[in-house]
Amino acid sequence: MSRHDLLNNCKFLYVKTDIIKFASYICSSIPPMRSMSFSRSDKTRLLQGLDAVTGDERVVLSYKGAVTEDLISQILHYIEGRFTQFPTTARVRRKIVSVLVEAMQNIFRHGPKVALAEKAESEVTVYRCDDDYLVVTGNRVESAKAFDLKARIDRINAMSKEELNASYRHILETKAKTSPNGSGVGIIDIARRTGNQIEFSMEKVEDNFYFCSMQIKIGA
Amino acid sequence: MALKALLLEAGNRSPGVVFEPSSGAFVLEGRSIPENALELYAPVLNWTREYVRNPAEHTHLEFKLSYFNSSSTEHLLELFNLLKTVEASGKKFSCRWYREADDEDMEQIAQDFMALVGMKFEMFVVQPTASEGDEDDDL
Repeated sequence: MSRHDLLNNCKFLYVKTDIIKFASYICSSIPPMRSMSFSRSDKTRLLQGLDAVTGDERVVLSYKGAVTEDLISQILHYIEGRFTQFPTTARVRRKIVSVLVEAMQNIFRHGPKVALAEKAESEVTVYRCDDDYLVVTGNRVESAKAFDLKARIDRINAMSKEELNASYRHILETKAKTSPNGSGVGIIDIARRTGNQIEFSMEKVEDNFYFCSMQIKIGA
Repeated sequence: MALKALLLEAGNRSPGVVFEPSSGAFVLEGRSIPENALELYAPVLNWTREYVRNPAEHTHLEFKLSYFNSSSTEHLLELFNLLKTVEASGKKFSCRWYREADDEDMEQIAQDFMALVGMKFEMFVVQPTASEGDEDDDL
């Protein structure tokens, strides 16, 4: 399957997730495939074992809710359990975990710092397409930050492997100590580890906010 | 006054730290994925700043982190840069950097660190853990 086909396939899946999520939500009385320590609430729900509900084995993980630091550990714990159900190499598992961490921390960093749960609502989905995986994130971002993010991703997508490495070193060398919450190498880190372009889309949802989505492919 | 050893237990998102000032034997292990890396590393870096004023003859770091996020990276780099300063007073600093055999990303990061710090590490390749898929592997 070509990369183009893969993405088309997964875009289709992405549209379908809302339906899958709903199906899973109403079927939540079905026992989980694996014991979990998630606290469930209307705002925060991890929908687990979707293949058991929908027969769609391509959805490895689907989450909708606020992205908090604690959630990141829970998601990692969950996906490491899911990996035992697929023939996945340690190499690919490590890449998925690191992409998830960076992508979720990117949401954490750029998402609106407002108490309103509705605005903090984000999505993290992991698909499995043959031996490849696709990590898809979506969250609301303030307009100015959304355009900055798009410009940054465009620049990173245009870089060769050597340019990515040089940029990574340059940022670490010069920007360390200037920002309290990371030096901005997160997206470069994703690009270096996957060797793929990061698909990015943004859609205006209200006056000052865009819903930004990143799709990151991890090849076998 | 002698500096006390720095001992931090590994957590879900934070590494285990064993820094022995008298012997110069330092170990970092586990994984480091805090969102607020500054909060985690500030005490470690402050301790190290104190240590390098009067370091052991030979400071050796066993770097066994299986994974660290990008916001940890700059602080870890600063740790290396601080430890490297012991050389100014004629002391020695060395590092053995562990990575799994098929972890080319960790190899790349080690290369970046060597270039940025200006020193060679001893790369130590370990075979991936046999308990494949066990979520407690790296805890």
